[in-house]
Amino acid sequence: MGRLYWKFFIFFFLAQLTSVIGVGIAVSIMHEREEVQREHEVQMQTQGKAFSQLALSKPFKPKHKRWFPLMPILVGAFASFIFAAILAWYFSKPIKQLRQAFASAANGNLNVRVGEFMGSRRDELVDLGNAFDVMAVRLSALLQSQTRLLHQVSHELRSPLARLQIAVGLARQQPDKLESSLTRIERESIRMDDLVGELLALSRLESGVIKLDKERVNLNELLTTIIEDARFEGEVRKITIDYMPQAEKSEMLLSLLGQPDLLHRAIDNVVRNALKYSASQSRVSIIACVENELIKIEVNDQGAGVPESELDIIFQAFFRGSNTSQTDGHGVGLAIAKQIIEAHDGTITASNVSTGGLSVVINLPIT
Amino acid sequence: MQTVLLIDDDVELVEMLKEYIEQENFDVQVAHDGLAGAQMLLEQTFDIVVLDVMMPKLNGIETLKAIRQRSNVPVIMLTAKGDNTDRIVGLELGADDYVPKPSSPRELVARIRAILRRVQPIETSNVSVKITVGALCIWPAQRLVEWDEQSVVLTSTEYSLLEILAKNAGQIVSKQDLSQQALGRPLARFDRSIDVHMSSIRHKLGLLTDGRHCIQTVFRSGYQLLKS
Repeated sequence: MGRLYWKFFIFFFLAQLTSVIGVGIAVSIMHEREEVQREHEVQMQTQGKAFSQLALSKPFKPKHKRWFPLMPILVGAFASFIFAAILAWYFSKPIKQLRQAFASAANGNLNVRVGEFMGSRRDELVDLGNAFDVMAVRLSALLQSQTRLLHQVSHELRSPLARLQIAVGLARQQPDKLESSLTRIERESIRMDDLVGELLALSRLESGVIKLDKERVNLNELLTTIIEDARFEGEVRKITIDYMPQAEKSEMLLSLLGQPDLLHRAIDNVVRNALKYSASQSRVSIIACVENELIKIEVNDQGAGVPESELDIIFQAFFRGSNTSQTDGHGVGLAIAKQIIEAHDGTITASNVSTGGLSVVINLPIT
Repeated sequence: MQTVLLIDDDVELVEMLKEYIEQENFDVQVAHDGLAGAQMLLEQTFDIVVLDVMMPKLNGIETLKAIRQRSNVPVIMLTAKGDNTDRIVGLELGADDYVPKPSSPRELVARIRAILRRVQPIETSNVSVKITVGALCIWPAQRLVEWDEQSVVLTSTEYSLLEILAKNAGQIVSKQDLSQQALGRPLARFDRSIDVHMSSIRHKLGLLTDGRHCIQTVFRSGYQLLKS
């Protein structure tokens, strides 16, 4: 039994004992008063029948010995002793369990659950236990996703390293082709640098360290520059990019408060993703409009799409669709886009187009 | 020219590796996923397969299983550095050796050479030379093994290890020597390859009449093939 149990026990016991004794005293005082009253009545009676024989045969002796209910108080004290013990146990047991659960969680075991030990109890302590369980579940999910991320990061960093090693091997093997090997080595190191940069950006966004530096952003302008870049990039593989800005009064409507460089990055990542998974000579269409007081940007491609079961997880870092052989890129782009859009209180969703291809829709609130 | 099948999903890496290995006088063919690789093995014969463990669709371990169902071609696995489970699972499923993934291509070529060298049947005039140890019969020229007159299917590394033990039957052969002679490389620290191979050989061979395994582990020394 812990210290808390004894504290509870002593408090309950003292409280009950006080009340038992208090009641005892009160009863005894009341009893005394009644006695006095009766004495008074008897006196009145004796005064009335002053010469009655009754008074003589039974002379009234005033009782001055105070009557005290000792037996009931003892029984009460004993009952309160037992009751205090039970009550203290009732309160301290869940707290003890909680403490043990916290201790084992602190030791890294997040699989402990308190709720099941609480039985059919319903009170704030049970709520506390349930809150602990929820916390443990969340923490362990978070920890798992972090471990997974670390695993994937190490794998992602290894791929360029493996290529780097082979490029070095080639340079040694064929000194006459040194220049092309060096180009490869350079490319791999740039790639690794990009990956590390993106990972840093993602982790900053996820941890919420970045404070949005909000200003009024003209999305039309932003989209125009993104699309110009994308057209330039798509030219090599003859990919056409359709951009349909909302015709009337669009200039006014497509603006919001946000951080322009982050928004640029988010939309650019989505567009680039569409480009990457498009076959040559296909079409990427981008639609921007206002719908239900939200700015909606839709990016559709004519690629292979994503299996329905994977639609939700394409926004997780390092996810790569199972129906693709693409190895370029790091699989961080869409994850970054999601974080940025969510930081702007928007949503980003993906769905398959019935005619084939993936459609990514960004909704941003007008602010 | 000896042929190598390279199975890895990293297109650029495969391209460079192919160039490197081709310079070392091998004929290299590539497959970018496990399914395609297994399919190519059905259609053609290769002298050796280099297989990456981390691949989408059919991963390396599954591909290895598929390959081992049909052929005993030597397989070298490319595993992530420090990932011991992949290595051990791979070796248990019959891979011949492994090379950690970010490592010099020179290392890979050295391993390929080491395995190919010992897989090649020894040119002997007398084909019927055989080693007999109890119920075990080995024909080094054909690399065939029989236990109780039943033919035993071993991978090339398993065969090499068994042959070394049989040639030194009754004596203790250290793990270091086994690794040097069968794998063509010194034993690395905490390297469990030899143990894994030995355990799978034990599974494939029968028991002695007294219920013991014919291959005994001698603690801290090595392995021994019992004579009786």
